[in-house]
Amino acid sequence: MSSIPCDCPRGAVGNLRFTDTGVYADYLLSGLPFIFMAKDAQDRVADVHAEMLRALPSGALLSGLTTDVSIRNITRRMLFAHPDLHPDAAGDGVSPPAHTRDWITHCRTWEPALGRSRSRRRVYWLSLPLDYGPSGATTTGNWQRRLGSVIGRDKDTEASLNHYRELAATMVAALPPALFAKPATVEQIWWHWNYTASRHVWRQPLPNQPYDPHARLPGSAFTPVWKDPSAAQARNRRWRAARTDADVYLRTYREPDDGIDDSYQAIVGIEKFPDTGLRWPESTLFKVLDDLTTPTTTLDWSIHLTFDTADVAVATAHNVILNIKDQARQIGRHAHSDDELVRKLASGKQLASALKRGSAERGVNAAVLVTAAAADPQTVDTAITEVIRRYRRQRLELKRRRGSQTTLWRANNPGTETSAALHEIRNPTTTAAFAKFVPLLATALGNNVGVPLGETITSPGMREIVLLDLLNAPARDNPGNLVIGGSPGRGKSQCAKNLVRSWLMMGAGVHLIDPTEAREHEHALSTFDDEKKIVIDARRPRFTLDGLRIFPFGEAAERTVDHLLPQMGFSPVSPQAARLKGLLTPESRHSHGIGSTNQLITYLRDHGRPDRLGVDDDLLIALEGLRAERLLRPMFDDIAPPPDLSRQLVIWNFGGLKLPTVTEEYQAHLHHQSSPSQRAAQALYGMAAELAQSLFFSRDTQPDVFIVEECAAWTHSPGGQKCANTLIRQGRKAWTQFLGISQSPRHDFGVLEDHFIEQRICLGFKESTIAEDTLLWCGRDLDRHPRLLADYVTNTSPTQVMNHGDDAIDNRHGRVIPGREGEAWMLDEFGGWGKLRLFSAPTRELAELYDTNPHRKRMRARNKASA
Amino acid sequence: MVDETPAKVWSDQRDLPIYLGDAGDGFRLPFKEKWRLPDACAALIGFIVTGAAVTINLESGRALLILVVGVAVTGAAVWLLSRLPASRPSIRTRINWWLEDLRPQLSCSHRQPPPNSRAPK
Repeated sequence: MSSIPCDCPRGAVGNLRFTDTGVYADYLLSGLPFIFMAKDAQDRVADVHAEMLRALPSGALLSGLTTDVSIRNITRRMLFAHPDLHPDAAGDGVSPPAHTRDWITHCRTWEPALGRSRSRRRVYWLSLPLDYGPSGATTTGNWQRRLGSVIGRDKDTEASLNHYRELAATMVAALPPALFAKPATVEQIWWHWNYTASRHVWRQPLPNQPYDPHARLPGSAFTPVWKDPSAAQARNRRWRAARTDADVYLRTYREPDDGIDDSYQAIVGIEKFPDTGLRWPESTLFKVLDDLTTPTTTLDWSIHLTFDTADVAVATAHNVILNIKDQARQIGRHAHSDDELVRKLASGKQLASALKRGSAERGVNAAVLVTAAAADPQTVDTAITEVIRRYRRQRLELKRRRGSQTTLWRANNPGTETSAALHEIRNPTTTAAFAKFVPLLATALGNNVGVPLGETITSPGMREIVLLDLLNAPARDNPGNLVIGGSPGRGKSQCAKNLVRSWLMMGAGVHLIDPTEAREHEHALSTFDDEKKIVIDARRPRFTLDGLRIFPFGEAAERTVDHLLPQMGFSPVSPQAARLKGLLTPESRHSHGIGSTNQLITYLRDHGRPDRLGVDDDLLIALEGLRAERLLRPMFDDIAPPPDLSRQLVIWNFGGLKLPTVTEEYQAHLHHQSSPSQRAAQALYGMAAELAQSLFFSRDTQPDVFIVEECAAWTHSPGGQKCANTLIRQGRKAWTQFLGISQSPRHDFGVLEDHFIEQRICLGFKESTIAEDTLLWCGRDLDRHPRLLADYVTNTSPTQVMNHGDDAIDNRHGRVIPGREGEAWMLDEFGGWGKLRLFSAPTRELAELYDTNPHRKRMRARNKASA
Repeated sequence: MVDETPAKVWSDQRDLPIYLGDAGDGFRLPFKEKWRLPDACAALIGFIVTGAAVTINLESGRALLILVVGVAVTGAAVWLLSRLPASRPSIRTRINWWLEDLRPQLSCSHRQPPPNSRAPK
């Protein structure tokens, strides 16, 4: 390696970064879900941070960086949601099976839509200094480093590399497992150098090659960066580079061959923290930067940490306390002019006390820096000014120091951080107190692979694409049940339609019950291959729904009896029920030629039979009454063909059917008042659900989804509840998923065994009481997070009702603010909670198919006519 | 185990201005109530130097002038040094940054000359 000292890495081997001032091991850390989580979950996150602070070596540099997300990678993650395309199943280098082509094509149609989202995410980068020994840059470690320098150890020999690797492994093994420390690859170290050098304008996504501990990258790969404080060179300023605070930034530029634009970076340290601290759990100091990030700016943070033993830290704190007490004497009568010294004294005693609390405590000395970057100085000035203003509200003090930028830039680069004047902003704290700033936060939601659902907006500046992998939840031993709730028009069905189309393209079997008069799902799926779908419409019957014809012969009797008895008004233990069951046994049907319900009626009508019983007349009268019911005609149709339920998509259109509620069903006086059409609807719903359940449960090697739109009526009917409970409880074992859509999720699903419904998407509600109830149903602690309720009620797809007093006609009045449609809160498969914006249809054609707004339909029809 | 205490960094323990002036035995430095090390040193040095110079020059006829100038210079030095910032950044860092800002220098990570005629991109 060259002996010319420089700021950049001299080379990288595996995750080891060699610099002129020492060797570092680089790691990526995983964030932890925190925002609006329950108390125990948030406390666990703080515990993990405290444990990390107890384990890190002195001199560790932790940074929160912003990386663009490669749409190609997202599409790749979508592709691998298909069970037959996942690398574990398909193997590398194997051409995709023919039946996956639809899914591959579908993923491609999403690419432009995903590209428009300009997704970015926060990554956490940890650099550990290795030259000081296991405890890092402590006094002993510094002597050890000096000794190493004097002896002149070669850092590049295999023995040295092994030593560094072992040391790094020892350091990182002490970190809490929840952080999933992952060694950075040489490509990622190269990315990190370019990122630090040209922040914001270097827009390459973080490389994701697998880690190879022996991979090498020479120093020449790390190309130079020139640092021009306040762009003095560019502006030809030879004296006084920064003449106002707005000039306090650093322009960095690269060689022309690198083809990278100039980066403008403003770096400030957090110099003062409030002496009362920040209230836990609202102390998420670093999330502010996620919130303020915009597409034109990058806001990052870095924390350089040194540690003292508790004894040393207490001794230092005691010295300060003595000084404070002495000052009360030194400044004489001014000591009592205000309470500054009193507060400092109390604060110092609090620090000493906190340091003495427990054997695990140690002194943490943190230097926190915030870096804003943009492609031009005006934007970076606006960004950092906003950061300073926002932090000032929390009584944190950040100052833009003229002439400091070149020095502070060094703090973000492992290898130069020791000469970055960080002692000027380093302040003492404890592991427990600093852990509560919880810098390592995860905002990601959903699954690693899956179908596109939306983008996270919990932190508006960091938008990450959310994939939903409901189909493969059973493979992870989780139930695949999802509920989408929200007021009408907020985007429930739109989301469901996107999901259904994706699942269909993935080859899943879908049975969909649509009780809406608009038959919107039939319309939305009208372009889906007719050979693979069948639409069963209760109002326009084309198929027989005779249970004796459509269920498998062996179980037809049992299922038909289950559905017919409630309609006929007989109890399951009545003589009529027993007789009906007896007549419909496979042997009886075989010997008496009963192949359909009509044939059963014909058989019952036969008065000359020797085995005729008195209850046969009861059955005959009841069945003939039902046959006369218009809605139930398909159940007595022995001419029309049975529906081919083996098709991939089965849509049941039950537009306008009214179901009796549980109350109406179970209270005798109300039961007798339920109308024949209500009972008929109950039979049809029951039939559809039973058919889907029996079919899905008979094939456990293929994913299937049962979907009920507007399922209030279904889950409040006795048969529906029974079927829904079976599906959500046992569906996992038969690879059967459930999707329910509701306008009042707690009311509609609280009656079920809803702890099996792990995934919940909650769109906006017009009624704040339903919104509150929904949050409680999702297990949110509203006493702890009152802001969550306020945000949910007032800031989830908010409508605008403006009144300028000028009688202007404004078609935006009363509508959701443009660009904020489809906002929702989501509880994901793993208990993660966050806000997201659901994707609309990926193409304009699909958007038109999905749209149920009559006004827009009319406009489109008018435009077509005029064209 | 997490308690409900706030998240905190004790930055107030690092910005304590150290004042002198009370020896603890009843003696207080005169003229000013709040002395800090630089201005106290200036006062002490000024007092000694002025006193010594006046003593040496008692016979020369310029003693009064030396006394007046010495007192004025000492006073000015005390006033100036008392205005030095008491909190961080340290004086050394402030001077470094002031010089860096006064005469901006282009720096390179690789100690290479900058590319020719590099205009902002």
